[in-house]
Amino acid sequence: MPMKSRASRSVYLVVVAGLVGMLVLGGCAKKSGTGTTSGEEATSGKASSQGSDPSSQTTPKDKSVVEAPPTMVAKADEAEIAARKAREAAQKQLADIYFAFDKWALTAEGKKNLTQSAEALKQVPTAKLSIEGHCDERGSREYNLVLGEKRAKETQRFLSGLGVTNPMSVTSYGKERPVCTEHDESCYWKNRRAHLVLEGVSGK
Amino acid sequence: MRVPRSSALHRPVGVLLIGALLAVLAVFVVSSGAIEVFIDANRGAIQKIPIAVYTFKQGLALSGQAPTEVLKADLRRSLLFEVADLEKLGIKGEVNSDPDPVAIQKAGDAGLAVQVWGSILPRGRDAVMEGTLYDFTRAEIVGGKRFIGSPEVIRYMAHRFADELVFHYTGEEGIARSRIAFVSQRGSAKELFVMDYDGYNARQVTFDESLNLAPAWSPDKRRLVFVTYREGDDPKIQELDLTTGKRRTLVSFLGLNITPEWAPNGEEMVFATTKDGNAEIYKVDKDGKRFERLTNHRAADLAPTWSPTAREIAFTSDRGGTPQIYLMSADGTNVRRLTFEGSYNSAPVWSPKGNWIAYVCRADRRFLKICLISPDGQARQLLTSGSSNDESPSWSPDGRHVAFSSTRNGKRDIYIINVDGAGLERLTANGAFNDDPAWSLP
Repeated sequence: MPMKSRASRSVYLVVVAGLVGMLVLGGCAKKSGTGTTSGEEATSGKASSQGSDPSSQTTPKDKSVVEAPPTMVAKADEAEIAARKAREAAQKQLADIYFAFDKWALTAEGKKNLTQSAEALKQVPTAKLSIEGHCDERGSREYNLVLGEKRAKETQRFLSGLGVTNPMSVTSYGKERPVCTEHDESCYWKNRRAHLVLEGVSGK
Repeated sequence: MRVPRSSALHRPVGVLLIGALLAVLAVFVVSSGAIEVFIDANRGAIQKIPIAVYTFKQGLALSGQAPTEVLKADLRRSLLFEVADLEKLGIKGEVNSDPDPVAIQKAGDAGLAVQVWGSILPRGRDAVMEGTLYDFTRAEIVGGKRFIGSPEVIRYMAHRFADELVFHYTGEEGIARSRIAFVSQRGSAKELFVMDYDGYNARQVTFDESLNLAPAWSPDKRRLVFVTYREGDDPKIQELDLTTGKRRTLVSFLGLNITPEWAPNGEEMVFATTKDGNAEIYKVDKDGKRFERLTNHRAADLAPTWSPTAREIAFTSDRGGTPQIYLMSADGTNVRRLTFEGSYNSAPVWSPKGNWIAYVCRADRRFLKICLISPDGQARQLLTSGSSNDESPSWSPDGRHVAFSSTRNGKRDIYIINVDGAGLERLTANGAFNDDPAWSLP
């Protein structure tokens, strides 16, 4: 299923890619400090901008490329990595919420799990959350689509009530995407669920 | 169903008169307020026409089911004919061109006043099917048809001939050339397929690798409207033109857009959407421009179906606490409840004959079955039985059969059944999950 990409995210990626590209062209190892004068690092940091010294031709690096200061590249890259890790960590906390047969009200257990999930979501408040509703097979196809949406909306309502400010969207798959297909309660309960997914996290 | 024969009714002319009378009754409508009552024109009420079908002479090698068998199956399914077992009667069924007079006499003496024979012969690269209709009591040929086409369409020729025989005796269109669209699971995707009404010639028509559900035919049989998740996480209603392959999006409100059905004249479509928070029923014109809201209740209203006159709509609503079948006028007024038995009744479909509404009923929190209820709520019957989930009913164009999906054989397959509960026939058996049948017009 294609994900909706956000323009700001694309721009961010281009900026990061550009910075990383310049780093590769510059060919120097990242050092947060100023340029050193050790022999094998003759082109690092500010040293390369001090003109072309023919005697330093021993290094294979192209000294004429203007490099971005290493500190800026490192921070942008790290920020993106940290954000992704934070989303993945939050996703691990988002347990499926289960419902009783034909019902869309949250159980005490469901509320408890959502309260924990809310805390995880507050760590990544800009990450977009998608809530999918699902049902077991014992209802008609179309009414189960509506029942699944009721379960997802109930979940969304509860999270909002807990102060979760992440952008949230709701959908339903009714009984079209079951996690198991056995015809008994050992499977049925697993399908009566609301499934929470953060955008930009693999392993939906 | 065996009905005792009286010799007076053996005459096809007599049957034709009775058939005509019933046809007249069938279109007589009693209007009391907004309730429509149709006299039941079910064929179970009249005697079937005994018919002898001799094995068609075949001049070219054919693979697959023999055309004579296709014809016999079509005639049986029409519920108009009692197709005799000639072998059992000791009558030679094989013919060279015409059956020999001894066979015709013997069949006539056995009560088979209507006799049919024919041939399938090559002509160049084409095939020619000729069929002859013989009336034993008048001792003369009363009809004949000739079809020419490529050998690939010989099945279709047999279907056409069956429809011609049905039309000859009832003035009604036969259903042998109708088709059934359905959903089949391919891996984790659900795609749309179309097959002949007898389960043959199934072909895939979407290749989205997504979820496509709930197909419904346009009255001109060219287009399928359906629910798709292809365009994102929210289900939208799209239309596929089967002749051109073109697709267009008809409904894409924020939320769920589900359960579309075209009006009998193809000018409007009803559907349900949750864009207002809860599921509500709307209708839209065929260009997808003008929307009109029909229901206004905080409960879920969905799965609308038109009456054949398009004056009424049946739908599912849980405004009473549990999903039940309701009726309303086509403008959304005069909402009233139809089902009062059972705690779960959903997915209504109105017969093209107007006399029944088929729907999914659930007993005891367990199995889903197909039920029938008359539009005035007076008659109700269980159509399917057994410990299986039967769902997604769809009417044949003659209102005498219901297609549905069932788990009775392990996975999920499409079946058809007569309105009287007899004639259960399995249409799909490809090992996949097959669901959501939609029966086209003939």
